[in-house]
Amino acid sequence: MVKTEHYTDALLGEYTYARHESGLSVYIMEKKGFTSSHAIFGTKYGSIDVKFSRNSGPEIEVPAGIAHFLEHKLFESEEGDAFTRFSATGAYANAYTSFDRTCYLFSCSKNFKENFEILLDFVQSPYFTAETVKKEQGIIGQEIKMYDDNPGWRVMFNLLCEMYEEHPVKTDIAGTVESISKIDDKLLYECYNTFYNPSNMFICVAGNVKTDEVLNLIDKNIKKCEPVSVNKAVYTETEKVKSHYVEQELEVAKPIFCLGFKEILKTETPTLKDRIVASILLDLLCSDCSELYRRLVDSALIGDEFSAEYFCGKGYSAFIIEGETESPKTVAEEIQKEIDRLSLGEIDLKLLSAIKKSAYADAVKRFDSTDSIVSDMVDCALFGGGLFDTAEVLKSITAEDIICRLKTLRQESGVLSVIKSRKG
Amino acid sequence: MSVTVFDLAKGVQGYYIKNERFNTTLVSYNFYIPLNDKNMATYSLLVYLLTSCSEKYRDYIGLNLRLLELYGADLSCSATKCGDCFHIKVAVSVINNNLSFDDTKPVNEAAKLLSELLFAPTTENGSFYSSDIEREKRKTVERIEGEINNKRAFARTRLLEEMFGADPYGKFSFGTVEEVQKISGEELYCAWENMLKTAFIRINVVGKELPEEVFKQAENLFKQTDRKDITDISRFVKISETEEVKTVTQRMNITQGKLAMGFTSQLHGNLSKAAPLSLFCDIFGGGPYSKLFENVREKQSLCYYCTASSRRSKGFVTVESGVEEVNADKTVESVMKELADMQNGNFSDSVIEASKKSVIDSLNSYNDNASALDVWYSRDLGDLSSPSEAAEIVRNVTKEQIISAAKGVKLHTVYKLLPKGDKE
Repeated sequence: MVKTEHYTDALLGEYTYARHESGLSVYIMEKKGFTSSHAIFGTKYGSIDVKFSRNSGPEIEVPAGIAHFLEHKLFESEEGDAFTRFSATGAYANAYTSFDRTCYLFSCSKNFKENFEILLDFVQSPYFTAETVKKEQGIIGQEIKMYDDNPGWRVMFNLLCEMYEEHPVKTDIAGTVESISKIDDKLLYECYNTFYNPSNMFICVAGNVKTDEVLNLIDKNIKKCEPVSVNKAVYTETEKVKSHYVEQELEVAKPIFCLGFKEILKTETPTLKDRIVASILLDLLCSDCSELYRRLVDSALIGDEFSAEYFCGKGYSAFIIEGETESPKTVAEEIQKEIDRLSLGEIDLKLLSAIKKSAYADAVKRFDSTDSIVSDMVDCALFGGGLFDTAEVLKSITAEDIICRLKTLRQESGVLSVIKSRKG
Repeated sequence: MSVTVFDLAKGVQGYYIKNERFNTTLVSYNFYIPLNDKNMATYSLLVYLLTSCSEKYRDYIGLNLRLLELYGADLSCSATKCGDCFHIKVAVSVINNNLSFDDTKPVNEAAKLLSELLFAPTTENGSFYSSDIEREKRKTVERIEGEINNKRAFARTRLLEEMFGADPYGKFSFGTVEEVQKISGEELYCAWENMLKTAFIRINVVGKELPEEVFKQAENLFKQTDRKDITDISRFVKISETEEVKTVTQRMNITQGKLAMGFTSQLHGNLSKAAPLSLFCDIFGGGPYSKLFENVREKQSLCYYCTASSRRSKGFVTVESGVEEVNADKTVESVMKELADMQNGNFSDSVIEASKKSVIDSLNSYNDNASALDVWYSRDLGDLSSPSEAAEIVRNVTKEQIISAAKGVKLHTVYKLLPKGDKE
């Protein structure tokens, strides 16, 4: 390892960050008393990385959905698939692809060393052939169709399509049946060789493990390869959205809506403070303790299905409020009215303090689960910062921070996406 | 981890599941009443009503604020079928007292709040407030109608309805819209009194420490309740096998079809009795080594998912899959072929070993998850074995026992949810 740092928190424990010679980032947290362990081997490569150049070569554009396709195929090798190898040890193994990352994971209560070696091996051993690619097109085609019937998924992507002019975050993570039909083994190797270089990757481990043992296993098993420099396309987005309203019909009981406000950040990716302020802002605006929530429930405009999230990554940032209602436009107007009221400085300071207390407890609770710890480590690898930073940042947040940010939630940058009920 | 059982009152048990590794403590009240299709809607509505306000927190926003002040204590409730009982759960999860940064003792306060919600609801002249009832009725109706939004869950619900017919187990836990609308305040009040008097009750505390007041409070409150005619939790009504397989097809405006198959089984009950059924299910359609994954998904590419699961408490097995209409019958045939293979013992010792390791691994992981431990100690009613004792039982299951469990599995109902054609 070229760099090793240890971080300690009196209540939450300690973890290690290390950087391997290959450029790989490593995060490890020993959880004393835990039976199980959880590990992720991931790459900073997701569905948005469809235009790039490698080692100053020409820029290439690949079909939408290729990162997700590659994730499916990496489980296979000439000798059989990685699932079968994990089966022999009893571990639970899986993988996922999102907009900005692809992660391969396992959790186990025994045989950590063996499982970790399988993980390190199969992620570094691509095996793609024309035949296996063709078979996967059928399976992923079914996965895409499954999401076509998912109203929660559709309402979100319809929103993103109207919100972003160029940024590929507007495209479905799995691509389309048409786009994945253009994927072949050569393209998969091209993407693999670009993004699955240790310098673009991270390993996160938490649970019943020994830090030294994990570091030794990494040293022994990371294959030597030349670092790769990747230039990912930069998309210039403005606050402008394509349209302010979009709708689709699906078989749902009641209309589903997603109201989003596009935000242009000064930095390429949001800072931890950006993310925490956004989350507190949304709680103040529309959590189940807010005035807005009371108004909407008491006037029977919303029920159980009402929530908000801060949606962000490299080159995109948006505040999204979603739910079910018979009157999406009325709810959107009510939300806008409340944003305007709060922007004038009418923040309930007692509520703000309770929300901060609850956010502190949420951060503490995450250390009860190895899955949550590892998931937070992945965020650290992508966005920077450390595992114990939340409590400190929380303390620093003021009502002014919230008011300042609220001003970016403007009608001009808003989109309302609705799934209407198609009965019969 | 250790478990201590307290007898708090007639038919009221306190389970202290001591686990040093968590930063949080979880307290849950579990009420079991006989499953009856006439009152499921009433009890489902009741549990949501009880957790929305109380005599002390008259307004739901007031209650939510109190939870927020208690370091974001997480209050949850559910009403589900558990064998031939209806299981009503109300739980709160909160950070440990030592993590509080003011004078509050979050665990004690949250447990007190929970008992206030259950024992001191907001009532007037033998009824709940009509405004509260109407609000919760509206939300319950939305939950019932919203079932259609998730097509996979919808297909599962419809399968059970068709499979169980007049047996109340086939009914949707929230009841029907008409039933909910007819429920009166007096009925709800009687149901509440009846639940406190006659339900079999288990109070679980999962955490590092057991604050003395938690069980003491409950003991005192039940002393004032006339406990009688306590629910017999050993009651079991078996579903009869069928001579002729029932096939039901329903059409909807969807892209991908859903297939749900229901099978009767000879085995039922807690894990010590029905472990061979659990292993059968896992080898048949559980892990990635399973027959359905390997053959129906991977070899034939018929679907993205095809999984089997068992309900030991009621002794039946289901298989669920997302398929194209053109492949639906072929998938049913393939599933039946794999079942026949299991019944003929066509599965290797290495697959049994992989399945045992996987099931045991997930049993071992229960110790690292407070919610999972709470579920463990509230689902298998007669069974006092711990997850690690259950792991030992699984370890000793033989191939012959798995074949015998497979032979007892018979197809009962096939439910297909298929897309409407253009002409329909």
